[in-house]
Amino acid sequence: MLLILLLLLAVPVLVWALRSRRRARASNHPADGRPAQGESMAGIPRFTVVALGTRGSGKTMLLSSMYHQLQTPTDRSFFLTAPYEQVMLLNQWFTKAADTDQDWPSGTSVAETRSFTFTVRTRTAAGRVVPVMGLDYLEYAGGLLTDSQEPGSTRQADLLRQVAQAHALIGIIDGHWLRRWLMEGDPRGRMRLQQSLTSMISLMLMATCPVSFVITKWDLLRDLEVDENARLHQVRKRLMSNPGFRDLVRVHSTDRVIRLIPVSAVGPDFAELDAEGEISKLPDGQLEPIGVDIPLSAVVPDIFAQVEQAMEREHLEAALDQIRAGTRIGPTAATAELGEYVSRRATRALTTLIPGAGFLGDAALAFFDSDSSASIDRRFDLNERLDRTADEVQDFQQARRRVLRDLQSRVDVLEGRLPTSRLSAAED
Amino acid sequence: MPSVVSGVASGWPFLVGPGRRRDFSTLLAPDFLVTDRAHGVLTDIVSAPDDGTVTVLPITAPGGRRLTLVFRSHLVTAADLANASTLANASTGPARDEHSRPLRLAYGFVVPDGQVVEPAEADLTHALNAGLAVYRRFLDAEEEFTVRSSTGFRLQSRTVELAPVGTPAYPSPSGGVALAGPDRRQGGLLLAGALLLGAAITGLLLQSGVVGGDPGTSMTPTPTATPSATATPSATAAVADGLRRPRAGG
Repeated sequence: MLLILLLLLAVPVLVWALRSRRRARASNHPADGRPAQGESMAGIPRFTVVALGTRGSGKTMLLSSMYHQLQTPTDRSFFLTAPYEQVMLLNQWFTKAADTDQDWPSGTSVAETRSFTFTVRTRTAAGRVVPVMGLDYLEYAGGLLTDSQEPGSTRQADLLRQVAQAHALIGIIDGHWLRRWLMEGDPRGRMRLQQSLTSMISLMLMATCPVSFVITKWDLLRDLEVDENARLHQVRKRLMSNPGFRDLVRVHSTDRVIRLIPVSAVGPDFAELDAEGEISKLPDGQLEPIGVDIPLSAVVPDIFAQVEQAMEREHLEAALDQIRAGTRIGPTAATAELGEYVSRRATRALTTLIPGAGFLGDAALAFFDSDSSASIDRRFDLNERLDRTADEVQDFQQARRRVLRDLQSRVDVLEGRLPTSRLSAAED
Repeated sequence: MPSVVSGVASGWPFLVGPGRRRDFSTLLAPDFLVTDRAHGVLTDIVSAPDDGTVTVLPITAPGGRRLTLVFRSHLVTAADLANASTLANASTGPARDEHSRPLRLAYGFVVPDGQVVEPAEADLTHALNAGLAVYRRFLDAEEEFTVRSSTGFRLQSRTVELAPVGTPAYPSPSGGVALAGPDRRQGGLLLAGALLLGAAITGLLLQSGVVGGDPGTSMTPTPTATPSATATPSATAAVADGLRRPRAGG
């Protein structure tokens, strides 16, 4: 009888336990794979970047090449991670493109639309590897920007919604069409470029987020001019002759710098145009991407600056939450403890280390006298925790600043090498 | 259990692919989907793996009709595009788009109101031939081309009826298939019911003094309600290993 009773009680408990475990597992391993298990993403901003480019403009190659270059911290303070299945896919694309015995990858189909969820990570001075931001990067079939939506299809509407919600837009300009127009005098090149610009201009004019322009397949334009800056100047002049593009630059350059970034996902010694006008891999081609990390570097610091204060505040609140959970004190008491801590640790100038901490310190002053009942032991423990938290927050923020400086320096190097990359409606 | 109705079902060929200039779209679709202006659903969800394996994908079309799609990819060769007079000299190399990329199609057939448990190679060949005939016309005039309607043909594939009840499955945007599991609220109610039942029986047993009785007494356990995970037809992207086909031009 006892066995039956236990069974009766065990079934619902088992069901509840299984459901709880599934939920817990889901929260540790979210479908988008953003944080690793046990890793806090509180206070870590997540940005959506959408590359606007027509079919064949090189969006997928740019993405896989960018990831390939940024997945290790060589010559930089940060690196990118992504959920394993996405890493596999990106590596497959890159390997297929890099293998001279294999054909080029086929175009992305509409059904293959997906969002890649990257995490930018860095190693702090204390040796911790921490996430500093998340980046969602949309991969889609470029025809969704130019072709009319078929009855029963919803992908185009989905794409437009994501473009409207993006934190940054990257306009992709196909270097192959530029070559056809500028070097071969092919009117089709001009027409396709026009079509491509028209599709992105209407979307970008509506946007208030940072925008950048990228010229893909830059290696195909190397014979346009020997000097790279002069080459870029020629391209820019032609682009600015398009009234829509000029307007777009004028509108967006009032608030921030707009850049024209030449990139090559394969580099100068990997492929060439054959007699039939097709791009063929060279039998002994070496794939060495150029500038593929710069498009992200150009937009991320800008979007970061916009959210920095809110983010610092959120990060500090998350750290405080952890202390609160560990000490089982209420929000008011925790704030008061922090207030007193801030007052006593004036030499550490916590508020200058943590720009968002000022509001907490101010709020805490009101509670400064309200916690006189706290025991000395508890206070000692709390102060230790706060010390640790302050050190960790400082360590994290220094690391994040280093990443942002690193990103910015890549753009500065580009501008030093190619001053023409800085777009301005007034100069053209 | 679904009943086997092998050999009696019909399939409708379809083709999704890019042109040399135009991007992916549905070029051939079942006549009923074209009539319902719902054929774009094929463009949205059909993405065949490069390795030539066959995908079987149950979906619910706009309007609620349940369909099973059977498809795989095909790399277009110059020979595929040749006419009778040029076929002899046509290369088996891949045909390319204007960006030098190989043209990859997804072709197959649609089975309304039925599940395909074993796709037949003959049915896929039939669909490919129908699709390639349409594709050749599409490449001649991509910009003006509009979707062509296909009619049903008798399948050799083994099929079963779809389960009559349950929430229809619809593929998720990632191209996978959203499994129709138990509704959360329903699961919660079942859980609450199970707990109440357990508590009630415990109370009765305690009241009747049965608890703590002879440990050697044997009784049959009372069935207990638990959330079911199999209330709806499962939507799986099954791959039939035995149906690999050498890819031309690979």
